[in-house]
Amino acid sequence: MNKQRALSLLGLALGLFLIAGCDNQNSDLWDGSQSAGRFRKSNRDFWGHEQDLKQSFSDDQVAQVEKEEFIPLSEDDLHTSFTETSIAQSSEMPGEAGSSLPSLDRFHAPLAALQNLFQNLYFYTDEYTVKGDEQLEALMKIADYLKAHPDVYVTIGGHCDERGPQAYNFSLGAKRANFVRTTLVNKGVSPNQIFTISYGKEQPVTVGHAPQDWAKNRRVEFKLFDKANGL
Amino acid sequence: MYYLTLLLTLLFIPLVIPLASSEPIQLRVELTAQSPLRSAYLGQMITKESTYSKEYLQDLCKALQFDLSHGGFIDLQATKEPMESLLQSDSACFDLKRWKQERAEFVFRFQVTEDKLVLQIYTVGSQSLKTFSEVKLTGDAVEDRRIMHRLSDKIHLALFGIQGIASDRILFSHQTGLSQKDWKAEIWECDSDGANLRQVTYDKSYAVTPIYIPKYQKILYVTYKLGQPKIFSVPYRGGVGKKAIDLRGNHFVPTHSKTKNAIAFVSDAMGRADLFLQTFHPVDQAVEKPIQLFAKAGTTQGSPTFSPDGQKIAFVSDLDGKPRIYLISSKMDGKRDTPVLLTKKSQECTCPNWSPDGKKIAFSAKTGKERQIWIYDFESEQEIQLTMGPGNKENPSWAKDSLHLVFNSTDPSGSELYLVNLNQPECIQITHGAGNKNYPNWVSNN
Repeated sequence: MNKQRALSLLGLALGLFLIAGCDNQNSDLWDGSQSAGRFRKSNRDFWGHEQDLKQSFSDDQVAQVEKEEFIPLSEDDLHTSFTETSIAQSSEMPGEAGSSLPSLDRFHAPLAALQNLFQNLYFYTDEYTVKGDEQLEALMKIADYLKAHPDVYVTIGGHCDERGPQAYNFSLGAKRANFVRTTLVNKGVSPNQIFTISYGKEQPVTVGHAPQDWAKNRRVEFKLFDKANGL
Repeated sequence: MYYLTLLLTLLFIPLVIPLASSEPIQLRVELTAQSPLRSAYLGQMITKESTYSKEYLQDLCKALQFDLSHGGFIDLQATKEPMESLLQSDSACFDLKRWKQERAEFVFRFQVTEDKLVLQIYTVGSQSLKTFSEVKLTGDAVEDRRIMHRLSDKIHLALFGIQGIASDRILFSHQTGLSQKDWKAEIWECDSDGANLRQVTYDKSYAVTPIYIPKYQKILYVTYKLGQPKIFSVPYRGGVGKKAIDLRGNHFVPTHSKTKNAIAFVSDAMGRADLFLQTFHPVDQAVEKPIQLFAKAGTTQGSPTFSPDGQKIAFVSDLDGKPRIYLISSKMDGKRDTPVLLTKKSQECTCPNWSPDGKKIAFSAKTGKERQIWIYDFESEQEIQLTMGPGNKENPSWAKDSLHLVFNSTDPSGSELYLVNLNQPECIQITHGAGNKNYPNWVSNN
């Protein structure tokens, strides 16, 4: 009896070890896991065997949760980025000969009246898309403002927290800034109104080492130049 | 129930064993079982009517001691009074029996007469004596330290057939302003032991990732002085920097191939972080258009490094989700090559640097909680961990001997530069003081 129990425990421990040790490099498995909560592509279980699966919630209950708590992604969006298109940078070289704009270091933080509008946007770790209803709404309002004020030019500074690799974070910062830029352009803002600047993790807003500091540093910041008023 | 449990156990065992063997090799830097280091004794300087003070000469001796101790071939013995007394005697200084007892393979004896320094090297095994031509000291501490570095390189060449790296310098970004309002970093350089600091750029802006182009004696670096990060070039001896690449958007992490006369870099000109290639003529600046070498929707590229023959580029990409190192051809015929994954085992691999002998790539990888320096060895096709211990170690740069690396290590107190070589396990901190030192790159004219 003891032997049986010992073997049962060993089998269970090995099984847990195997599952915990898997590093999810199998993309099919990862895709399936991501969508397992909502989409059932087939009635096959983890091992590929046909199963008569029971749903935890009814279809109506699932739809209600989706409507209240988040905007559901389509099947296609599970496999592609929210903004897959990329848009070339403006050919204007601010501050250089032939440019109608001053150097980008003359762009400034939003004045008091616009601070609420051009607030920082924040990101989850290792991500470059803006999430959350509030932030997406803020982005739409920024787009509306820029469309209504074509003489206002903006820089979007992309930043990372201290934990990522130094050199690679320049690319991640650019990705974050370009995501915001592409979203604005897709909403009708002229691409020539927007310039991106990646700071990587070289310009943190706080030098603390706690999760709340990291969250503050994973951001984009806006700076403006009003060409009509020279400000 | 018993048989079912036994069956499950038997099924799981073969699946567990491959996981157990996939642990990364944690290797001390000594790549062979027997230490490659040769025991040597460095005597204190013997002075006869020296122009310079004892303290001055002792400082020079310390510089040489550092170079020999960390050159990768010599294990210097501790100073011993009896051996110092022995070295004072012109007739008895190379007593074979005494040096054999000390197990020294080489004995270095220095004499300074007035302002001239003479070095003798006694090889115990062959009982041979080599005397180097006398060197005139200048009395300028900066210049005389350089003389000692050159002497160390000559010693390595004479004894081991390999030119030392002590007289090469290191470029790096020195960040002094850390707040958003006072955001400053300039390019500096130092000796291989961290001494003789010299500021190179005076942009009053933020400068990072310098690289040295020996053919034109120029430095390429990224600066924010135009607002967006752009690649500039500046003469090594100083001067006004000029924009090197005429391309819209942000530019990062330039690298140079002397064989191909081209630079590779990352730019978001097309709204993504893509890999670009540019033929580069620092004398009259770039005259041809940059080529978009690799881009893929939804992916991010970073940190290219050329193979020594300039035919391939290793670079970072998150093609499969996490940043890893890939290889791609550097041909410029416009057809997009398919990158080949190089680092299969390590996690989050970044900042690759190809060794001058072409046999290895050093890179940084997430290892547990920290980033460590790893080496990909082309011969064995293995990824080998080089460094251990606290601190996030990044941006490795190979010296010309493909033996030494300089990198920066960051902890909560800041970032400093470290020197390591493949024959000795210790990483030696070479910079100190205020400010963060990052993105080191060797200056070598070979």
